[in-house]
Amino acid sequence: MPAIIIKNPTPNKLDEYVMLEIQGDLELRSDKMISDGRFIGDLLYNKYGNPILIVGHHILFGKEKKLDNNGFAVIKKVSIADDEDEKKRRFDETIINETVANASISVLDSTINVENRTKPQVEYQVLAVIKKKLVFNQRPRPIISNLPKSN
Amino acid sequence: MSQQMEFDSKEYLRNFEDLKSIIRHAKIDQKSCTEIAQALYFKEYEDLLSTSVAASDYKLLELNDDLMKEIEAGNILTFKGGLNDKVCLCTRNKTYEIKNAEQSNSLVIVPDLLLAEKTSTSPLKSPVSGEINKSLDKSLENEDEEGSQESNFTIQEILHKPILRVFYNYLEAREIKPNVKKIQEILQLTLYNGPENEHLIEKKHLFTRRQLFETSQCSAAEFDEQLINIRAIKIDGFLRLLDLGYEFRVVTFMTNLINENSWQLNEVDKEITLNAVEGIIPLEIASAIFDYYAVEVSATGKYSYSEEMVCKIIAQNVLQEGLKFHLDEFMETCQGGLPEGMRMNETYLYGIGVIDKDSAMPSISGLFEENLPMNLLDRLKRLFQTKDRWTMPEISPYLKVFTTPKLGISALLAKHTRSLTDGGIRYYVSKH
Repeated sequence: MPAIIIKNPTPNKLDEYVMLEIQGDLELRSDKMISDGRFIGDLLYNKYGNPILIVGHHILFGKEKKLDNNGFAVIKKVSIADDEDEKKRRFDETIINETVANASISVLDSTINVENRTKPQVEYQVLAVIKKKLVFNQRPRPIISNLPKSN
Repeated sequence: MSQQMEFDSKEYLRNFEDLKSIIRHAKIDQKSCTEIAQALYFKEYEDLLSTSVAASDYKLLELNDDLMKEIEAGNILTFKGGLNDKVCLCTRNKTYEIKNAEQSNSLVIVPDLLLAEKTSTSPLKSPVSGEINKSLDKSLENEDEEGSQESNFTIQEILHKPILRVFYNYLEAREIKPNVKKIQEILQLTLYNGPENEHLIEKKHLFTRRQLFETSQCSAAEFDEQLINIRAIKIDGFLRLLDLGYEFRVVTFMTNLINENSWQLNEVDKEITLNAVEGIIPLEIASAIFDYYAVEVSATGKYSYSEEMVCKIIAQNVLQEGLKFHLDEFMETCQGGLPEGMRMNETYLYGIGVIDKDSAMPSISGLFEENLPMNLLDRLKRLFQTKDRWTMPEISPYLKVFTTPKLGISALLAKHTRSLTDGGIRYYVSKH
């Protein structure tokens, strides 16, 4: 299959994103979502640099860590237009192949044919790399309160 | 990336009052917090629906050092492989297998999120022997007096950070040995056996270089290396392999010129050679074969043929697959085909023929690596049927195809064979 490429449009000055690793799912009560819009929660750090995440009625304590596998890239699929040179080149090659073609079609033939003719319409772009994460790997503590919410 | 997201006026934006309230309820000592708090938001409602197209457009790709460097430098990585093959990812010179790794954890990706030190106006304290939670617990327990905190609230600023997306999986990349065998298998379908036999070739099976490269699961460097290994030649725009018999005739024709012109082995003249074969061998083939077999002697601009390669092609031609010869007679026959000064050496025969010196009459039988089963166990069975005990150099060419960056020949042998030492030489024998 013609190759699909991953390309970094900004060499040597990629953004660096941060990953929060949270046990389980990020659950939001649906009514809360409606009332609060897109708000998820608060991220604070204590003076020792340890992250504290408050989501809904849960508080999570975490740690900053370097990723043990060296990192991640965040890639995004984008459509690409067929440029003219490429079209022509493929057309020429198809002609070479077809002028000599005859009737018998084996599995290999059809595979190769498909491979020759399909041109990927997409590519991946690198948005950023991730080298550090905040890990929240302990059970969340509930926030217990009898006080009515102040707003 | 955008520094701040745009908010609709009707949407909720975290404010100090609510933050203070939640901090109080959570019983966090806000004095122990750094000066900047960050409020996290979903960017789009669609991101909440894992089925939406937009969400699946993003992927997390695991990177090792090599991939990280390639990406940061702006080099292109390529997903490739045939229609029916597994997908692999290639850099310029390495190949990776790609697998989807499911996670039970949520991986929340946040663009330009500040790490701890950027949120603090004073340097961070170093944790007391890593016991983070204890210090937190203490601060929690000590904090009972409400109200007093309101006056000295240390959090100065709330930054609003949209998250990119929550991932529950990522693409795992593991370096593999590329599947270059396919290149040879495809080219085997259209062996070139002289212009007079070209009408027998199924033209639909012919591949241009680019077509073959795109369907091959390997990087550009590995592809080029394999083309050299199997001596692929571009004929009429398509990549081809020569039929062994034909290649043998081409090589003998060329090496015979050494004796005819009374050249020394390192005095081969490229121009004279190519002129001499004109009309007998098509020029693209003659010149490609010459380049594969001969290296330039830098001082003189003349060339010399590789003894090993010449010996191999002659041995391969004499030694048909499955045939058995008396060793002496075989060596003599080969020697007769070699130009003066070249000597047949047993080590050139590894991977082509199996020498048996243990029986009363030393013999050699043809066993070509490329014709053996592609399953390791089947292949080992076949090898040990042919010969009971092997030395490492003898067996290596037959097993090379199974090695990976992490599993070399000796590891393979250790796993699948038994070894014994006899007369100071280490042999490998069948496990069963």
